[in-house]
Amino acid sequence: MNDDIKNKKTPPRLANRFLRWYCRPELLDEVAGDLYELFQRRVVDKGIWKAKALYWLNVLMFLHPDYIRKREYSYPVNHIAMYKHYFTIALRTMKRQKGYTLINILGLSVGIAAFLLIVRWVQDELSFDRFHTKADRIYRVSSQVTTDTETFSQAVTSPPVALETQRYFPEVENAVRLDMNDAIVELDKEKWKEDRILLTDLSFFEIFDFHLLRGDVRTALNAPYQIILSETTARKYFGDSDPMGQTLRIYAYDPGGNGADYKVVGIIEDCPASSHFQYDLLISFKTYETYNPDRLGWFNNGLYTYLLLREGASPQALEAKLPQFLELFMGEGMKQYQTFHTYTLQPLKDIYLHSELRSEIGATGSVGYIILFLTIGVFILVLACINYINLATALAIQKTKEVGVRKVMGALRKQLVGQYLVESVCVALIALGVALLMIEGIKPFFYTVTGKFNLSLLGGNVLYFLIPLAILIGIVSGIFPALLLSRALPATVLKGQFHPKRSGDTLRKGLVMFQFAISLTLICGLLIVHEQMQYIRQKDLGYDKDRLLILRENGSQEVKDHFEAFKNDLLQQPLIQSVGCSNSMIGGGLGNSLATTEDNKGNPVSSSINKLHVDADFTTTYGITFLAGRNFSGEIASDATEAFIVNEAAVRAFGWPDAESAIGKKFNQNGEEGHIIGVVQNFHYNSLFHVVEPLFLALGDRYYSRITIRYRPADLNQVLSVVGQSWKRHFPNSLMDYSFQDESLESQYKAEQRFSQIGSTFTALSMLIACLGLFGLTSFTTRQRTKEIGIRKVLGASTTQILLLLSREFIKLVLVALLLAVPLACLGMEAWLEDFAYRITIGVWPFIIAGGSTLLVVWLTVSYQSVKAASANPVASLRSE
Amino acid sequence: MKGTNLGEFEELVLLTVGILYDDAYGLAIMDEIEKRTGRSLTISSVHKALMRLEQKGFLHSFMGGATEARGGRNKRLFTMTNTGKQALKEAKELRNQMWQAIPKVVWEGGNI
Repeated sequence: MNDDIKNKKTPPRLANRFLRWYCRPELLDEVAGDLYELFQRRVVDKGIWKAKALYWLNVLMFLHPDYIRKREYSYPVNHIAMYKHYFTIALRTMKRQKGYTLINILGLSVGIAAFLLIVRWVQDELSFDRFHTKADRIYRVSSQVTTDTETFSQAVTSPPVALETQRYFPEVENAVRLDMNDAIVELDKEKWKEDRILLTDLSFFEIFDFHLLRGDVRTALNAPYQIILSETTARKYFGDSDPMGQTLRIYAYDPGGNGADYKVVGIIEDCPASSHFQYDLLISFKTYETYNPDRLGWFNNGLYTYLLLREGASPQALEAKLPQFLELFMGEGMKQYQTFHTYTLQPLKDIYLHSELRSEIGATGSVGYIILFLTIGVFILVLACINYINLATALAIQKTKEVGVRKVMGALRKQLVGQYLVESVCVALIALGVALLMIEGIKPFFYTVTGKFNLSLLGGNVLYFLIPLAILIGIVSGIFPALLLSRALPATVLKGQFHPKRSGDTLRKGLVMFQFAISLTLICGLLIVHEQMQYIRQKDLGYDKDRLLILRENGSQEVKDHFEAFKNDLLQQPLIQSVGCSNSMIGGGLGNSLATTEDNKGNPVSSSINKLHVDADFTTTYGITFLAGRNFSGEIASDATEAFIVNEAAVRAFGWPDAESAIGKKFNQNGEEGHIIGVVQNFHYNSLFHVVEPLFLALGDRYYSRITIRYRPADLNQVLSVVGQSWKRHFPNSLMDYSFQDESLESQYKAEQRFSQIGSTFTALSMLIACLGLFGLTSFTTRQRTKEIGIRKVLGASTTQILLLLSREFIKLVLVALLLAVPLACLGMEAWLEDFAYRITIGVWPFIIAGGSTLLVVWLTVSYQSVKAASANPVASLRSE
Repeated sequence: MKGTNLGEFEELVLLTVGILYDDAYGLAIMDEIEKRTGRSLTISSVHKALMRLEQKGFLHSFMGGATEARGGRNKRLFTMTNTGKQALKEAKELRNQMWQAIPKVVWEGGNI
């Protein structure tokens, strides 16, 4: 019996209450009864949850005028006339209070504009790679590599992975390999440098949604030395003439070093900006296979592999089977090289925002920044709303008489609330209009700062949520002042006894404090970012990064053949100090391998070690200091193959007590054996996000890819023209592709730079909004206290004293805000600084500067009004009554 | 007074009230129509139709028949009024007349 009652299912209680509330009482019984019967039947047939949901649906479907209870006391009201009246009053108030209205609208519109821009930016960041129809099924294979000394994850895998996974796993429908290159492209003796050359398989078009505009999807890229151009690139090279079937000479994968002819077999649409890899030209993967037949093995990591899984296949299940697959194909090799790989699958949609592996194919975004900027955006909007609340509550005191009269005339409280909400919504809508104009105006700035040039700011679905957003803003910021105002009792108000002190004064102060706490946190954070960037720029890198011009060979045979003559020619020039060569530029990290040597007791030790092939003049050109031993020498023949120079970090890694003891130690790397002849001081060959790791230098054969020129202090153009002339003389057929070391280093911190730039903009905005609000507020409070000031002056107070009196309150608020901001900024910035291997410690200075400057700004804002009040003639203020 | 014409759905409901005779209330009517026509209905549409029919004077209703299965709620039981019966007859009559007005050749599959 008891069980029976328990088992009896009851309809959702809330739905029942709702029904009882709206339904006409005389109809309730039949409706509720039928619904109850229906419900019990459905519980048996379809289960409790479905029954409950359907019950709700049924209840809602009875919402029909015939069933809705007529409200008591309702009498016809001419709503339209009422709203018209509200609008008239709203407009009149705005006209009367021009200053406040201006401040309100300005503050709100700046807030809305900033918020919208941030939302648009975030929307774009989130949209990466979503345009592929099969995006949900595309995964990138990334590998985790474990050696004796280190474990790291990289985005690249080896050439056979794509084909073998497809053959081995039925759930892999298709696979594609990508490689990103840069090379010199030549047409009719003219040369261009192309940075976005993508090497890819034919399956590229089956997996991704890039549309081939001309050419045949089935055969394009099917043979070596075939190329597809993007629309823009095609226009750049061939103008209006037909590019199909034409050839371009490209200095890549050419056996002779004199370029190879590539046949144009297709035109592809320009790469959408929201793809995590970018291309201008596509080269067939067959080219790579023909050129590098010996580099197609399992340990030639350097390609990006993307898999398309079959509909319904589980990536987790596939991932679980990968170790077994690897063991089959790479097991022996991994044991032999003592390098262990594990593979993971990264969903395509997650790569842009969530992947931070070694050798990413393109720049990636960061979820951290998205969250941070969204937070800032919301805060700015909140700041703007607070301004409105502050000013409106302050103004409320002036309006109380109006409220009193209205109440005497019979206005209900909710009508008054409605009236003030109409007013605030009006202001918000006007602010929205102004915000849209502002966005139009700052478009170019937005593009430069974010680097997103083809982003339509107001297009698409952005407009759909603008109006509701503005109305929401109006209601949120208007509701408190409206409630406060409508609370006034007519009798007391009309007698003139509505005390401003008691009406929202604490709230106002709290809000102002909150505004400044946020602004101060932002300023402190920004100062710390700035300090860190400054630190990075000035950090001693272990070599002199100024006055270094770097030329790239770009695989040109001519440069290889005539390099010595070019070098000698340059060294004749008074402007040129020295010339060195290397196989990689330093600053962006280097390749690594495993080296074996002996410790002090003669036992063999191995460590992973970075490598750099250089010529004898490299260390002198860069100004790298030797701690022990000697540099390579051209005179000693054995140096070419048997001499190695290591850095301090390597000395530590191999466990030698000091630099001296390293000299003469046996050194074996990748089958090359020799001795250590010198130790150099650590220099940063990677960005400062990384610590300096062990490194060895060895003389390379004649294949260097970078020529570094150290020039004497001079005009850059002069240096470039001197070097350019020699280059032309010796290598008439090659393009001079140069960069400056200090600029390249700078570009490594582009993301951070951008972050700090966007950050400063929004900090400035938040400060501006806070000050606008403060300005309005002080002008109001000073006016409130005109009489008090008059009396004080009559009693002998000086202007300074009155100034202090008026600003003291706000200064106190800022100080409390500072107390709140310090721990917030500290926490946030500690997290940011953690990414850097070399970083500053947070000192007191940023806080002192932020606090000091804010105080100054606040004081200036406040005193503009106060000085006016304090210097006014007391007679004028006291006589008014 | 609202129009006294009979919509298709209203006609179905009116007929069903006749079929069910002494237990014609919302849910039972819905079940009966669903059973006979295979359509799926919502309870609110049946209720609204019943209300309209009562307003037009085709139905008469009274409360009664509370059961445990309804959570102790009363049913609104409907019976047809004479006007209702008349309206059904007229509808049927009209239909018959129109049926007969269709030339025979139509049924024999003649094309123009």
